Amino acid sequence: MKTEHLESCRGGGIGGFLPSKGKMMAMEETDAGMDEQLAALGYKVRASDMANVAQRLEQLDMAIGGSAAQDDALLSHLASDTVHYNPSDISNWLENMLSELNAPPIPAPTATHPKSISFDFPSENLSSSVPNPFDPDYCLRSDYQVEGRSRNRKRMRTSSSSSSTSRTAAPAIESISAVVAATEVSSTNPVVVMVDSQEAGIRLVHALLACAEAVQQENYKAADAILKQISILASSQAGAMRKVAGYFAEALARRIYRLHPTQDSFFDSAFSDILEMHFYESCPYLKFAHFTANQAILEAFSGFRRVHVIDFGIKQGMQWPALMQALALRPGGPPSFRLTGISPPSPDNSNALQQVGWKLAQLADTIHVNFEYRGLVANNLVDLEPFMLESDESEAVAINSVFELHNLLARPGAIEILLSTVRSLRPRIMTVVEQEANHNAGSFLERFTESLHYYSTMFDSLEGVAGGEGQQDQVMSEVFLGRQICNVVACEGPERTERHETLAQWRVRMNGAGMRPVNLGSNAFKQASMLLALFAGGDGYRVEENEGCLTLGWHTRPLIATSAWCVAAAGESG
Amino acid sequence: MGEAEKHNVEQEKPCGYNINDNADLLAEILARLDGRSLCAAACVCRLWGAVSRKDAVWEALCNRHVSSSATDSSFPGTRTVVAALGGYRRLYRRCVGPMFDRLASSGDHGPQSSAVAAAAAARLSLSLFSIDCYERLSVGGLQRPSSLLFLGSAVDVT
Repeated sequence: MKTEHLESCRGGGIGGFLPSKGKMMAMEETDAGMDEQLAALGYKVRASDMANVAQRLEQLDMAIGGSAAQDDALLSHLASDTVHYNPSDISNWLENMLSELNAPPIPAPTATHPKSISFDFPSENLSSSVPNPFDPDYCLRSDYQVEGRSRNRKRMRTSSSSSSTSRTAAPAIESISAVVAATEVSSTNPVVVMVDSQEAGIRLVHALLACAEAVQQENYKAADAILKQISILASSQAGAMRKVAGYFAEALARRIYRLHPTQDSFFDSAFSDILEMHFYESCPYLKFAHFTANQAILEAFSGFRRVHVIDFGIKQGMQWPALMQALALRPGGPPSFRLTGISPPSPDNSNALQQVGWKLAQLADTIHVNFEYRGLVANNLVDLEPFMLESDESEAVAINSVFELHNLLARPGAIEILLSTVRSLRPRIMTVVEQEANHNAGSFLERFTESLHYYSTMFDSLEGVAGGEGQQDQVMSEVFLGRQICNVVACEGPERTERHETLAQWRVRMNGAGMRPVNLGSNAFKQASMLLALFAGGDGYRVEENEGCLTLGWHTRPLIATSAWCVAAAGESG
Repeated sequence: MGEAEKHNVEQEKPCGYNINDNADLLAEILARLDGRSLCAAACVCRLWGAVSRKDAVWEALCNRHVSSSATDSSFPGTRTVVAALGGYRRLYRRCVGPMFDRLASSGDHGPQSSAVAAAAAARLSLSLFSIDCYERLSVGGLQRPSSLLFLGSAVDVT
């Protein structure tokens, strides 16, 4: 039974559709004509009552159709010894139906009319009892309290009809929202909220965009007010949407209040390594990146007896065991393999970089691959000079960059310097994996909108992870992405390092720097597809080929892209 | 009367052949089982357990799943590498088995089991196995290597 949405507009009239279970037609947006139109159909409704009637129709619809668990009991109840009321007097009919259906215990000492939250009005009358929107746990807390009281665990929640009748005089929209804000999410009241979740979701997105626009116009008071509403709306959502809204709201709050994340770099870098490991485990993005890049590197290295890989961000070195294994199994035997791992300085002076090298060396030893490792510490990739990499003529060089290049865009000119360093190394291949999104150009609002869509899709794709350990992985992955969101939204200038650009934009850059594309072959595609088939709950992942590059996306939206490049010969144009 | 005698005589004669006498033949037979049956066979008795643990048996099983074609990676080389990384039994338990369970449950591998797909599966399982081995290298039991958790193969937990 599909419910179409009721929307209230100013002046008390109702535009939109009424639920289709009655023989009703679409209503026009006129005020005085309501009564007559319905009367023509045989229903008697007072025009002044319309808002109330519509709302209770919605309640009824949800009460009947909302809970799968209660369905059987309800329907059998309805089917058996029901008293049938004359529906032509709609108001009373609704009251009767609702009081019958709401006999199952839904304890709600207070109920509110949160449905018609609208936020294109100034909100001075919002009370101050709304909890702190900074706290990312805020949405979760209020949500749990509501859920704990309501038996209906799905999105729709019903409120008791008795108290709703006391608030009939269809109040003006402004004060509805004030009531909502003041009473709804106070932590002591077990509030059962009736919210149409899908519509609230749309309003949530609108609220986020409105807040971003206010921030762009530097209208911080309005932005702050909208933030509070975002928190309320977000608590009515479930799953990915709520979490994304939470992170974006926090990022907006940081931007408004100029709260920069405390830069405790020791904790920070260790923590982000842990987060990245969980991100590696819970979803295929990093694995896809590694496998496709490795395949390209493997193919580029064929025939060479000495190979050298330069990794712009070695982290835990998870990419390289698979490449070493593939080199070991190469027909003709493994080449001697040299790896240069580059990493930012580790604040506690631990030799994490060397430890990675030792582990890789151990593995190489067991599979009998000649292995040499060198770790380079660099604050910024642009500081790299070709002589540091000590490559000689006889070896094949591959350069690998997984989510590293976009950080350089924060400083103008840096990427060009790095690419010219790359050129001077004359690599056989350079593999680049980057996020497929434009979070760098245009105004703040454009960036915000783009990133909202991008991260919503990413969070959606994470929702499929199940199981005990998987839950923890999922949460950590979300925190990992949340930090990116914070950077994209709240930071500016050199601090904003998450400057993602699309594959098309990277193509222009690489071509401009004298690199030409190398097609990733069908082997990479097949391996990637098979990898995705292994992720439970991952039916939504899609590998696509894009002019020789591979993208991994969720349903129709590509999220990361792997591309391969080599130095264009002199005289070749990009 | 006569039949009963014949029956008795047959019972007294030695059975002719006991599979437990010939471990190699037993290994050949067990090598044709699938993973679960092989594990069940390992529980039969000590001899069967020992034979089932031979890596060659698991190697045959893995190769059947990911039948690496002759044109693909060099066969003896693969064995060395797999042995170094932890052996075929572990390869099956950690990678090949869960992989094929997952692929089978998603259903679409009937018409797709071409040599090419099998080769891709072989490469993928070896890659995943090498990552798993890498993770085990440094931790020494402090932390469970977890890069293969996505395959749903809970390690030694159940």
